[in-house]
Amino acid sequence: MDPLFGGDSSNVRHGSFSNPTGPPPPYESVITDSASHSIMQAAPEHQAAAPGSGMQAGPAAANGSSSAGGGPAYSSDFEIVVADPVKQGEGVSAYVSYKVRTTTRLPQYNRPSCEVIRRFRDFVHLEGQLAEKHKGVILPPLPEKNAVQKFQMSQEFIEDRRRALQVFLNRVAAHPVLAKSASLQLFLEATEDTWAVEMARGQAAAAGAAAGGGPKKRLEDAVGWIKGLGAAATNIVGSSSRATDTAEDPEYIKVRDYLVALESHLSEAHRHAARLTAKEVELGEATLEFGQALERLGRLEEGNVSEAFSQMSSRSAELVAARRKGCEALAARFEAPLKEAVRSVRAVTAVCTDRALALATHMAAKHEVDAKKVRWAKLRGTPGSPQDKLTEAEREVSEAEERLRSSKIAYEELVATMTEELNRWQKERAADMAALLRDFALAQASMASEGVRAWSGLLAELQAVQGAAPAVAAAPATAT
Amino acid sequence: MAGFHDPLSFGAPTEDLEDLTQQLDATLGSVQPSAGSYTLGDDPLSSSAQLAGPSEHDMSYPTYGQLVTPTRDLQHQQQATAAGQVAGGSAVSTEGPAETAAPAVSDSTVTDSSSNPLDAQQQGCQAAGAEPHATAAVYSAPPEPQDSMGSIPSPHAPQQPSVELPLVVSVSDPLRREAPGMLGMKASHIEYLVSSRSSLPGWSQPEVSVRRRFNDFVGLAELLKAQFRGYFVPPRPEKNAVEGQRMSDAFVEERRAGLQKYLQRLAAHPAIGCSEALQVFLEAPGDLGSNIRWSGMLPASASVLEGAGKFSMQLIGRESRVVDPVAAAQPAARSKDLMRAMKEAAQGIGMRGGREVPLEELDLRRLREAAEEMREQLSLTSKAAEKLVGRLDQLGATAGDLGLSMFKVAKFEEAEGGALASYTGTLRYSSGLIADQKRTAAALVRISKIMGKVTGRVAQELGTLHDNLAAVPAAVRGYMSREHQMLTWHTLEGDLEAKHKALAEMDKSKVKRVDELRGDVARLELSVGAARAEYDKIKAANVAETARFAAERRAEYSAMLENFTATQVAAAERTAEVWVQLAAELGASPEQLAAVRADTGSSSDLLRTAAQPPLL
Repeated sequence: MDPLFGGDSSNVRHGSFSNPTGPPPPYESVITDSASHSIMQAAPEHQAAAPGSGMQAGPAAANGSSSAGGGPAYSSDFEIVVADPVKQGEGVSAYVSYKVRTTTRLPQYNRPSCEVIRRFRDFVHLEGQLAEKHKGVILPPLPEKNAVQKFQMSQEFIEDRRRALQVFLNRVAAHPVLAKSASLQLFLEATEDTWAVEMARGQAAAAGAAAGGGPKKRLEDAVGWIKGLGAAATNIVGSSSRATDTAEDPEYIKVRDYLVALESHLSEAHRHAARLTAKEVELGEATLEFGQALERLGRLEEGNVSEAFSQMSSRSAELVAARRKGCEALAARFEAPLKEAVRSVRAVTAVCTDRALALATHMAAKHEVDAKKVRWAKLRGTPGSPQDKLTEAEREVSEAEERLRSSKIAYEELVATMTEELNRWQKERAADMAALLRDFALAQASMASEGVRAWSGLLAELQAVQGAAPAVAAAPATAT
Repeated sequence: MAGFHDPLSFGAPTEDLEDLTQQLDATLGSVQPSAGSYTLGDDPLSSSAQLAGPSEHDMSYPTYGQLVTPTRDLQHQQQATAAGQVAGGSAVSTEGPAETAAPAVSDSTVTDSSSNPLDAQQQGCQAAGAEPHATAAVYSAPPEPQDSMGSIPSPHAPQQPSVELPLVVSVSDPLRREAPGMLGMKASHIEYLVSSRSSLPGWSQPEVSVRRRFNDFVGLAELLKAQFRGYFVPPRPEKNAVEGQRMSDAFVEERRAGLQKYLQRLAAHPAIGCSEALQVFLEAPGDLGSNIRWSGMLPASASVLEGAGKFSMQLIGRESRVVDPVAAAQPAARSKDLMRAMKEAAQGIGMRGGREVPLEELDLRRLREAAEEMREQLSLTSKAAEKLVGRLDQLGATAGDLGLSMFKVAKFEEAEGGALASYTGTLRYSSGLIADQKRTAAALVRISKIMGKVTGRVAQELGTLHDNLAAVPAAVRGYMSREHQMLTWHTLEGDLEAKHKALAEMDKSKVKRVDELRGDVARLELSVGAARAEYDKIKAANVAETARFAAERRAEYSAMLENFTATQVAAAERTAEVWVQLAAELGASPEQLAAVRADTGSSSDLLRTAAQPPLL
């Protein structure tokens, strides 16, 4: 049916969730394909740098592409499949569980392959862990937490999410840094009991941080300091950015503003892409209805017209059925990846926020050092200050200076990581966009060719009917 | 697209892209793509704003013409097609009168045949049809426009466009005229130039042009309705004008096209085409209202008041209660004879169970019911077609929106993306990204343009459905006039029987009374004969018109479906071509391209053998 995207995309959509396995996604082949692209030719080293490209293809591409023998320039150490979505529980507490099957060649894993059961919030926890432990890394985007759709639990929604979660995990596993993360290993390997402990620990840590102390405390101090500058509390990202802009690299500021605007441009494009798919479906419906109406009209006539109209009706029904599949392909290969591209930009702006907060922390630390120094100097200048107070003040100064140093390092490390990540991200994005646009063109071409086949088949039938009755063919056509 | 000469090739892809870039650069600032009113060059067919607007004032039926704002190109198209229509119509007219011109009229009964000029005209029509006229070749068909539709096939035209046309009509050059109106206000109206070329006998000159306003067309339609009882007179364009909009250029142009099509249909009609009424309308110089020949044809304007007066006279027996033969050949409603109308109504009720209805008459009544059923289904189909056209339009507009927003992204990347690119040292990737997005945007905009043309073409083709829907009421009216005439005839026969009976029972000594009754009987016998003759004539017209309508309708349907399908084939080919090219530009592998490429070889053969070569 769809040689282009591999044979089983419809199977996956139509609920045979039990078997999306098969051979792993041939990332290599996708990458190899993209090598024929002009940009890629200009930059062959890109292949190593953009492991995630082509991941939209997901498992559906499994049986597909033929050009896998092109010599893999890069291969992930993982093959991860998210499968078997099963609805658990009822009512408001209902959720969907997924099987996460991993095959890996990394030595630190206990076994080369394992399977665990996870639900959406486990993925969210993993994302949080990765974000906290790898500051500055641009995380692959998770699908959105959509409460309304989750409540409805439509098959389509579940399948879309399954696919998106699989893409997420494979992108994480293909990331040079994240692939080696202990958090990822725990997520992929831990038994349900171990994982439950991890989740509980995470919740406790969050509660503890809220109670006070720890690095989170200082972060909140930083936020408080920013607020102290008079910024509105409603938008920490914006206000922290503005507050720290003066201390930032002006080149970076431009990049950040660009990214924020890019997100809105891309999401507008995505909105139109979603509309386009919807309009294709609507046109199919209208074509079908028109064909049926014509057929009924033809029944009131005799002979050729009646036959021709009924041919038109059955042909258009075939065409619309084929088109429906094409629209599904369009939704999966174009609209969903475009949405992912939007979320991917959002992931970058999330890192921008982290960076702003790190800088704010650093600036708050500097402010604190100054304050402590002033206090210490004041104490020293005051005759008869008790020695223990002086010692205390001096200790506080050196502690503050220590925090200043570590916040500086944290910020600088984040900046270094982020700069590297932006480079990687940009290359990957170019490849992803090329792939999704190519898939878009191919899906559209496939639909249009289907149309040529169906309509010219009908035309041949009509001409055969006309040929059988030259009297009618020669009769006048008085209308336009 | 293998083997197609394509005058509307969008140019070399790179030029196209540059062109587009400039166009879009110019529009990006002002256009809100979400509003759906993007500007794509000056192709009026592809603008969704224009397409969406006029469809609002649609009254009873969807009118596809309103969906498509006519352009010069379209006018040409219509003229070309219309010329073809006339040619096609005349093919029927050579056969039609043979059947229709043989009403079973016993000559003694028709006392005033001049009130209905049909018979003579039909003879003339036949003569004209048989006579070769070198001058009547297709003259109004300009060369097909070179750039209007690209490779989308043009509407089906008959196979022998060179058939000689006895009468060719065009409507052009709308001109605004102001005349003093009521209350000293100036009332303005539009006058159209109606040009005819005729080889029919009785025409004073082969070519003539007159000025007519819409009201004149209304008068013509009324006159034809009265003169051609039993015929399915082609309907004139609806009045449906909203005051204030009436003078807009778009409206005037739409009306001009509608009036032209109307006259062409009349000219192509086997009986009406050579009628005196049409000839006078097309020939008479100056104001039609003040033309003697024209006003001579108008039915005597008996007012309702007059009819009411007659009614009271009839009641008290001062006025003859016997219908005269001229009136017997007129519908009761026209004659304003209220007594007669009442009688016929009573007869109509009685007839259901009483008088035996001939088999042929029953057949014709079933045909009328079938026509009414067809109107229902045509209405549904026409609505479905309108929906299809609307959806096509929306899809095209959405593709344009997506293309434009994709282009905005590319432009934004170009303008601002340098910051990231230089920051991260990925300029090369950025430029690749921008190029990909622009290529996709260009493809989408091309798709949108193709869709716009397809929408216009499909709207035109499916207009056949609407035209036929508009024609059905005329058919129903034709059947109904026969049924009414049968009532008249039977009512008169009933009267006659009653008089005969009264005469037989009458005391023969009352000589004066007997003579009076005998006079009545003699007049009634004439009237019954006239009514019957009129009935037979209408019936014959019904039969002939039924065949003509069915044949034309089916031919139109077949042509419509074939054109529609050919348009779809061509459109799918064009779009497939654009997408395959884009996929290739974006680096799809040869295997991938082969998998999605349409086999256009066989379809292009089909298009070539289509009745009218669809590609210019």
